[in-house]
Amino acid sequence: MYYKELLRVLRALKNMAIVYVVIDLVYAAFLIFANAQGHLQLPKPSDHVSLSLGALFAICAFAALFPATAYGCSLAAENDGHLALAWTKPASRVRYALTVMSVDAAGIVAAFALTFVLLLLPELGMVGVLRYLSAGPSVVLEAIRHLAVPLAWFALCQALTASLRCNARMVAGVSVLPAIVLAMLAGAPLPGAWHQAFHALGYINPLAYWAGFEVNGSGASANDLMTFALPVGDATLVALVLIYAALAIVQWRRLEA
Amino acid sequence: MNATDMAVISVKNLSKRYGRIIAASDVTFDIPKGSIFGLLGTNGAGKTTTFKCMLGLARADSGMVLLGGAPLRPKTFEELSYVPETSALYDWMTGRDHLEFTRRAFRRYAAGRARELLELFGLDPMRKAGKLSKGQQSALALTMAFSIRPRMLVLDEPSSGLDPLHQRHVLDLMIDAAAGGATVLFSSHQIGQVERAADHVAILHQGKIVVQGEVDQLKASEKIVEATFDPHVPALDGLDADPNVRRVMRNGRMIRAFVRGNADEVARRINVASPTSIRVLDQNLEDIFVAAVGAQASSAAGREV
Repeated sequence: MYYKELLRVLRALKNMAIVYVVIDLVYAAFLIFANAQGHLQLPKPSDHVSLSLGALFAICAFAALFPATAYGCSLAAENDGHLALAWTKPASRVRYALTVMSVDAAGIVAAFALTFVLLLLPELGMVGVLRYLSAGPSVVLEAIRHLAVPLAWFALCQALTASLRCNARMVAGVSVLPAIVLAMLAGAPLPGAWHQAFHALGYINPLAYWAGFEVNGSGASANDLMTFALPVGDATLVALVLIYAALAIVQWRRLEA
Repeated sequence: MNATDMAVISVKNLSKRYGRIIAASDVTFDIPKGSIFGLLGTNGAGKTTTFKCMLGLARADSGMVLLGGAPLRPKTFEELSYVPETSALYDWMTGRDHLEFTRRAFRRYAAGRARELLELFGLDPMRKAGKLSKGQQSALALTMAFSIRPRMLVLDEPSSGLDPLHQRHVLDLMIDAAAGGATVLFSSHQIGQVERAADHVAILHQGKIVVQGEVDQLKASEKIVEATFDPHVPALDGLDADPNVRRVMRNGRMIRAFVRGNADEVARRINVASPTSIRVLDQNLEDIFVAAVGAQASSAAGREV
């Protein structure tokens, strides 16, 4: 059952890789041009530049949100005239849905890795700052924590679209905006009741868990851009993934072709 | 052992409503092993709904379905192929991708058989499904269905969009599959196809089965006395009331009487009125269909058949 979804995911990843390579080439051309003009200033060891791996993971997580939104409509895509094919395979609907979603999730992980390997490493390497990269005590845990955001967003998109026959991509795409606004409001200094309401909503909004970074005047630093006063609850994110995925499957298996 | 015990596909009292519309009402039939069962009906008669309810693609309001002697479960599809009326293929996938998808999902998939079928239908496996014509999409769906060597086949309008040559191939495939022990259930608008391939038939009308049985028995159950008069058909007193005459159709200068039992006696009575021609005919499936769905459906059937 996984084959069809694997083809879809691989196709999307291929396109993503092409885009990244093009960006790398454009960036390299830009650097060559800037260097020729004498405008390129690379950091020197005396600059004390510190680049956190977590910050890079946050960018990877952000980039992975795009495929997560697209893959988040994979069950809805089956509803659009393909259920007669999907549901006449020798597998239960739950197993079929889990298989499709697992392949999508693997695609999101691959997109995360692809962003790191094909976009961030070459770009940072070209400006010579890779040597300043510092990792925390647990790189893997940190990567997983950041990965959980696009995965939870993917599961939320599935839950929102699993029962739709068409317009699923539009619904998932449009959902990004209110999710970002709600995430910002979750951490905004609003008066009492409003703060509590948006804060509570933040707990079920995967985007509220995304930790960005900002580059300050003295160089790159790993500051949280969106803190939203929420703890980065790993367990909560994992729970969100599971709950939204379960909601999606419950809806999808009850549909009629 | 009763018919249900021997049946590979058994449908009992299947009913399904969509709001106020009754799509299937108390549909009951049994299909013995190795049979080809044709389901006939006008548009909206309930054929597709019946198939969907049988295969769990739609939830029946009531009724029971046994496939291979057991209720539907995921494992049933190891041995059952379904070809829906409208294409369920993925437009962005090639024919080869679809066959690979099938190969990975079904243990009974036979690559050699798939290649034969691609050749039979003249399909290019490298073309995307979205670029195929409706007939080619049907052919690809049929290739997928037959390539797993199913023991049960449920085909909803399988030759839809196919040219006459490939329609013939589809009938041959069904007959071949049945000869090999598979049980085939198919629907069609084309009565000639059903007559040629099916050994059992059911006619659905407004969600209900109005006629069903073995094709040969149904055809033998009645004779048609057809007479032509000039300038018009006379009154023929008492013909309609004759207990052996099930139905009389008058159409311009022609009269057709559907007779159970001795048709010669009815022919003799009509002959008294001096027709310009008279003959006794065996009824065909089209006659049975038209008689079953009534005058209202006959005009629609005439267009589609």
